[in-house]
Amino acid sequence: MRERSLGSKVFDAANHFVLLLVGIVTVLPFLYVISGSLVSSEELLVKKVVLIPTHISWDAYRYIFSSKIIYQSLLNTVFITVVGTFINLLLTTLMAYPLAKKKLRGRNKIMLMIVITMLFNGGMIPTYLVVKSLGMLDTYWSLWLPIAISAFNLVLLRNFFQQLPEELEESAKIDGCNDLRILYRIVVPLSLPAMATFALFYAVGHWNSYFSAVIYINNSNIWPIQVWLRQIVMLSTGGFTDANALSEVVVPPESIKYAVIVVAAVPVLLLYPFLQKHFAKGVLLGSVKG
Amino acid sequence: MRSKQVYFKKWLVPGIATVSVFFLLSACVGKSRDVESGHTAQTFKFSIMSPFYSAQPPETDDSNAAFKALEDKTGIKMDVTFIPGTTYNDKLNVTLASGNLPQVMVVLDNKNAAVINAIRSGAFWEIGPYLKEFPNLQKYWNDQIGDNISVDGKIYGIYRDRPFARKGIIFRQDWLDNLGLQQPKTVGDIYNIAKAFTLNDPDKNGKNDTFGMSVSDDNLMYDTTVVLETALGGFNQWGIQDGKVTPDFMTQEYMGALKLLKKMYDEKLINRDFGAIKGSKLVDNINQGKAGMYISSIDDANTRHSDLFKLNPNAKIDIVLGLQGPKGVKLPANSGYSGVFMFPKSSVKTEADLKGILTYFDKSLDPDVMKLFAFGVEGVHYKVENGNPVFTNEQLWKDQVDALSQLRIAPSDLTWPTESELMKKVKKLYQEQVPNAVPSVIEPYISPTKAELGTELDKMIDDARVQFIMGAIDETGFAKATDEWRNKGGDKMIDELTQEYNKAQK
Amino acid sequence: MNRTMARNEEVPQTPLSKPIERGYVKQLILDIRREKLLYLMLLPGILFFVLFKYLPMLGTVIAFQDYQPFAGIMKSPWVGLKHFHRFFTDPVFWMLFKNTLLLAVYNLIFFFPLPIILALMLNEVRKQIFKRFVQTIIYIPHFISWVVVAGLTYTMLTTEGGIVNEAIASLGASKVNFLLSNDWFRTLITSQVVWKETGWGTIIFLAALAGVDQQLYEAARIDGAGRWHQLWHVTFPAIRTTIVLLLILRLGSFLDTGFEQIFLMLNSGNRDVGEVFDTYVYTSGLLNAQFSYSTAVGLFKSVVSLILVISANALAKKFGEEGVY
Repeated sequence: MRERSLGSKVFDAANHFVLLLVGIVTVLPFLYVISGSLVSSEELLVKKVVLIPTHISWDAYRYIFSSKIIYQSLLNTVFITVVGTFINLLLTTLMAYPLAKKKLRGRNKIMLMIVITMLFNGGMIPTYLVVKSLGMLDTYWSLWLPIAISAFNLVLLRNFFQQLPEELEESAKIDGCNDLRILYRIVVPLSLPAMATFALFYAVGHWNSYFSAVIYINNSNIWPIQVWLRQIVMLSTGGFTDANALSEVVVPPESIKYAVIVVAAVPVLLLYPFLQKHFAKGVLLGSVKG
Repeated sequence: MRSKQVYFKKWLVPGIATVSVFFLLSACVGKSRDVESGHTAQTFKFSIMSPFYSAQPPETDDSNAAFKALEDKTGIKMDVTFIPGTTYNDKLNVTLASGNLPQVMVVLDNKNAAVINAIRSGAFWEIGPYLKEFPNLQKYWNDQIGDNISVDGKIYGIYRDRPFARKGIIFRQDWLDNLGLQQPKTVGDIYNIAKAFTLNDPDKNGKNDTFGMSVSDDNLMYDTTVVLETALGGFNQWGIQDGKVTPDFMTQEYMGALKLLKKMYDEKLINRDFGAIKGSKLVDNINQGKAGMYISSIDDANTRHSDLFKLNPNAKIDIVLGLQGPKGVKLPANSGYSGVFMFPKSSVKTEADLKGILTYFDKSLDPDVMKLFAFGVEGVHYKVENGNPVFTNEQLWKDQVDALSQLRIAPSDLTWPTESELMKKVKKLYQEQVPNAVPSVIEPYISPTKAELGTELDKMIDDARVQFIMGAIDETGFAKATDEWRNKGGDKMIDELTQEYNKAQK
Repeated sequence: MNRTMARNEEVPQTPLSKPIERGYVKQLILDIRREKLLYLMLLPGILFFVLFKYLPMLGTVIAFQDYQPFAGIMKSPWVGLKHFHRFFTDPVFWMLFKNTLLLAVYNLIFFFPLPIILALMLNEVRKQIFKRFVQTIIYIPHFISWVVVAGLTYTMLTTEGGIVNEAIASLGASKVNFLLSNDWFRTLITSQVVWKETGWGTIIFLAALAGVDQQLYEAARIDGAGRWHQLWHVTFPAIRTTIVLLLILRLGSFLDTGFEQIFLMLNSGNRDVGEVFDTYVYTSGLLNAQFSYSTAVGLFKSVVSLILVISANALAKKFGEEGVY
């Protein structure tokens, strides 16, 4: 390695500094959220901004996890997310690969057709009627299939596939591999950063979704956790006071809102480092040489 | 629909391989809602869809002793679908569109265009004629509320009773005591107390850190303005002026209330960010010990101040319902209900089925069922001490019993000896003030223009109101907003409602 | 929609184009025979788009009806262009258009480039630990729901004891009513988006950067290229296509403003600049169960997006980019 120039050093220092600043700006409010979830509602009410709670109070978490249903729902969410993401990746990859082939006749027409679906959408009721007539109501399929492919992700994944050197596939083809084999043996392993990215996008989508579950599924035992978390947030912002009227609504503590975020975000945050290793440089290089 | 099915065939044939594999796998998840509506010899069963507002819905099977007791006591089985409160209206709309309706559904906004249309196309049973066959229901029935829920003069559902006379003033009694002031009796008192709360250090901490009245955007719209204007002798949103149905904001009394609020804003007696806050922030101001008074449903005094008492054990909250004005003691009346149970004809096929369902609601008014809804099951949720029920497991009660209350009807002034003193006072006031409550005259009527443009028009006036109080517009500016309202459909709305009103008066 | 699909398979009836089209279809059939597997791989995806996207899209005909959910599409009365007429003649139409457009432009100018810059900056970091650390924390805000973001914004900016206003007051200046002001609205909305989504937005670019062939850097270094040169000639080209694609796709949702976010920040003090198509449709359409009206407004937005996407794609191709289709 050559000695780095002064300019390069200054560049690095400035770069680190700015990134650190960005990091602080993003992480401070999150710390606020975490401590907000750990203080008692009175303390939160008086101080408004708490970065280090004086007394740790687990009330908010106790409130969230006081119901048995929340554990079941957490499992539901994990199941929905894992299977859903698998379906997403399978179908998206399957479709993106042929569309990345320049020689494929009609591919631009299909791409246009896909882009149009991003612009025009039928809305809630028509989609509901389709899901219903396919007999998917009250099943997990209603949460997976209607969002099996995101046009956005498809367009981007196809772009990634297109940037792979064609020679690789050509040589595999000469070796007698068919397209499906090439896809799974060569293209997908070479596109791991992209696959990790879209896995993350899809997984977060499934993880955060609650609306379609309530609309398509009547059986609350198979609802995802977000349905409850959202309900709790609504309760704590006082959105229901008029509707619920007479019965003694117990407005949960303010700290609930923050605890909900921690509960909802932490599992996905834990997921990221695992995916992150696929973002390491030189994936392409390594596998080609290897 | 036909064309869709043809289309399906065309695509399903080539795609069948892919999709059918998926569907073969799907058989195991979830259960279908369709319930055999039926008379087996002993038990009648129906399906019901309802919103819930608790952290989770109560179990509706034998694991919930209260639900089981409910089924036993009424002799009726229920298949309940609970939907989170925020998503309920969307769920209702897709359910209406799918045609696959439960036998009983809670309709929260029964004057919504989609619901009115469904009613007019004969989707729901008219239950008015059946009510007299059910003694409890007949006793429960209040004709004014009945009018309010009616569509074209007919009754299509059972309302969930709520107090008429409910909006009043909630304030810090200990602050009044500190300052040697009396509870508010007139609109003038509100101003004076707010001023004293702001300037005279009501919490005696030596700091100028309090203000008179907490106001929020939604609270201004629904509570504060109407309470003040009715006390001044004005309308509760809509009244009759010169033989025409007229909105409140075209009246002097309304402007009087608005000017008072503006004065209070200018003198910093109310929070300056009122236009930007909603929901629980209104009460936060009280609980933080910053503000001393707000206008709201008086039962909030009982439910929303636990944080205040934790922070300040000496705090005292009291309430006043109805203020003295030129026309005597007045207050705005609520519609008297919150949501209506309705019965779709497509799923409640016969008159006998309908009567079976009505029997449930009739029985739910039996004293022991009402007690069940209030306290749960003896030995599970409560025990009896000195003749009064005492909760043994309050969390269980909340999860299993309290959350079930969405499925019941009950008179809103039903009281129990175990209730807090404040709640007893609240319920006493509910009853006492009914004669003084000013109703909104348009409650029973439907205007197509209102159904279409209502919220949009309301918004124009709401904005003008906030801007007036904040001083962004003056009286001419407000008058301009009113004119805009009239031109954009308000006049048409007035005509339609006046017609309906006149028709009903004959 | 039938027609759109059929274009690929069937021969249109216009005689002029017949010979060409026949040739195309013939070729297509030949291709399909030759590349059976490739076309078979497309099938599940096409089926998905037809079933779950195009079929429901038929539902947009309710824009020309007075649709009632209970009556259904078949029985709801047709009203022609009534809803479009109402929308376009509404005095607020131009206000909505302007507000939506301005927010979208703000977003494009002040938000869109940031994830790219941030990704490039991260890419320059050599210490892997530092890089991973920053990478992990900057995407946290994405998971903080808008309700809470709005709450935090309120807590900081309110005139009643908000930190910012307390600071302003302690400097002797008069408090600023940020939350109820027309002047601050767009700044607030855009800053919230920048804070919440910039980190998340870098992920896609980082993935693109991960695909850069390290040999290219090697080669550039041997040629004596400095870091700026490498950045400009090796790194940036690697993500250029991704940027162009995202830009085109962004235009496809140009008029979609974040409904929840804006709805939470909207109030009587800032509605003149804050009301956008999405919030307007919510209060004027959905709250009153005016499905047809909401759909009509949605359709208008879709058409605008379509025009933008087609133009942007054509422009991209003109500049030698791949484009989306």
